Amino acid sequence: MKILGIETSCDDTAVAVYDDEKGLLSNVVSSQIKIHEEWGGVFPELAAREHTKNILPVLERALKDADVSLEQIDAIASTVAPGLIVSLVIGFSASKALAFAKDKPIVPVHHIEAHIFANFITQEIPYPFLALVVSGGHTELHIINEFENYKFLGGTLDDAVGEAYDKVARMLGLGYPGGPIIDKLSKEGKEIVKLPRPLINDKGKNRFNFSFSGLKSAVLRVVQEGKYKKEDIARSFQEAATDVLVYKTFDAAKEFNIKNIVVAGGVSANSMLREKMKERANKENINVYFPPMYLCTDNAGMVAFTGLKRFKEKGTTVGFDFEAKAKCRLDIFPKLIRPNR
Amino acid sequence: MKKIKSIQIKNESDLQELAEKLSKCLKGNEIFLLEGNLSAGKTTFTRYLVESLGLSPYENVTSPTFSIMNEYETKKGTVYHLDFYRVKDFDISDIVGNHIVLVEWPSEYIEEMDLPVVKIKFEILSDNERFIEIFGKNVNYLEECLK
Repeated sequence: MKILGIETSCDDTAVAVYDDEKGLLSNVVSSQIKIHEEWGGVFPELAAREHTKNILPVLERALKDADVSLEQIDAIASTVAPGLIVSLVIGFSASKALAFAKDKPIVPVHHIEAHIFANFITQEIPYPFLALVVSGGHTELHIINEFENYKFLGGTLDDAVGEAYDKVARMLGLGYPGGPIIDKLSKEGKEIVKLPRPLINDKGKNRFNFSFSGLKSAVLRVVQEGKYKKEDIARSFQEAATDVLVYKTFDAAKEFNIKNIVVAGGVSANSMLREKMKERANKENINVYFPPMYLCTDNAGMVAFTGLKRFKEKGTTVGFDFEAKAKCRLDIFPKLIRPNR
Repeated sequence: MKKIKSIQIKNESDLQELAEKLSKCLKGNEIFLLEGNLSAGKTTFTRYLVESLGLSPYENVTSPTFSIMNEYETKKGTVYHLDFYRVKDFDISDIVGNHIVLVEWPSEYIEEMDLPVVKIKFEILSDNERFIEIFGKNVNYLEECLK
């Protein structure tokens, strides 16, 4: 069985083909990072217009790389939520058009869900597990009891952690995207300033929420003092940000007695986060899983794979009247796509 | 634009108070232009304003820097929260005029639209203190209401 995956929820237009026997046949992402760099961190085109321009060439390339034709595709998996609505609808409309023209079923996929289940492309992970999803636009913690059985524990109250990375990089004049740049630079620095670890001492059921805005402000003050080297500020920030993520995730693992942790999203590529997670996991006899680097940032391979899982295990498809949604919390999603159950 | 008010605030609860007061003056079709440096309080102000408009308890106001546009369901209808920090521009013609729209790092032309426009400038004085200036266009009622 072959599934075509389409993802346009944020900046990247992505199309991939997944085969349940042969694995990932193609995974094409028209990254806009190049455009960002040329324009010093600001891209000149509207996100939606970029997707419109990219979608057909990316589709063509994904089919060519996979050496399959649209006729050989069994279903089309598409990200339907959450994301920038004008961007989401480009990918989802393309999915509907292809489905209509070639008479194929459409399988809906949640963006966050796809990031989490991307891990299953390379390894099976035992349920239940905790999922920490960290990227430029998201910072969320969920319990995954099984496929389509999710519990939301907390999310960011202000900035996502990846956004904090980008803004700190901008304060330090380091360029875009900030995550990999700060990660690399901080290896040369020392933690010379003890920055705040926001919400780390919270108690009660809301303690799995995150906040990175205050940390960002604290970094700005340190930058403005002008006393410290860039690499030391980068290191101090990175220590604080990753401490919060590790602390809260393991606090949840203890609270709910869960022995497996999945880290997903663009920030899961961060080397210090990986090291700290592994170190703590070893100590506490917990298994921690990270996606391979090529599946960390937004891509359609994760969408095709998650769509295949849904299609095979649940048989869920949606009709042409189904609409993409800017917002939908992961735990609500199974109800959104199957309202009658 | 006409200056409506300037105010020096000492801390976040002053900012909350200002946002709550403002929220009671709105007709529901205003465009807010939020200007100020990183960490000046643009998103925090938006959070307090949207919360006082009656945000559903399951929702959070978060930074739209990556998502570009967030939507919140409130008792005053859908509120749109945008951020042009990493985009040059974004088509808002479908949403302005019928909703409360808040834009961080706004494009200059928005100010020229023939709609009720409120510009708020945030200046950082110290860790907690901010100097806030409010300007308005087509919002005479606001001046009265904020007195």
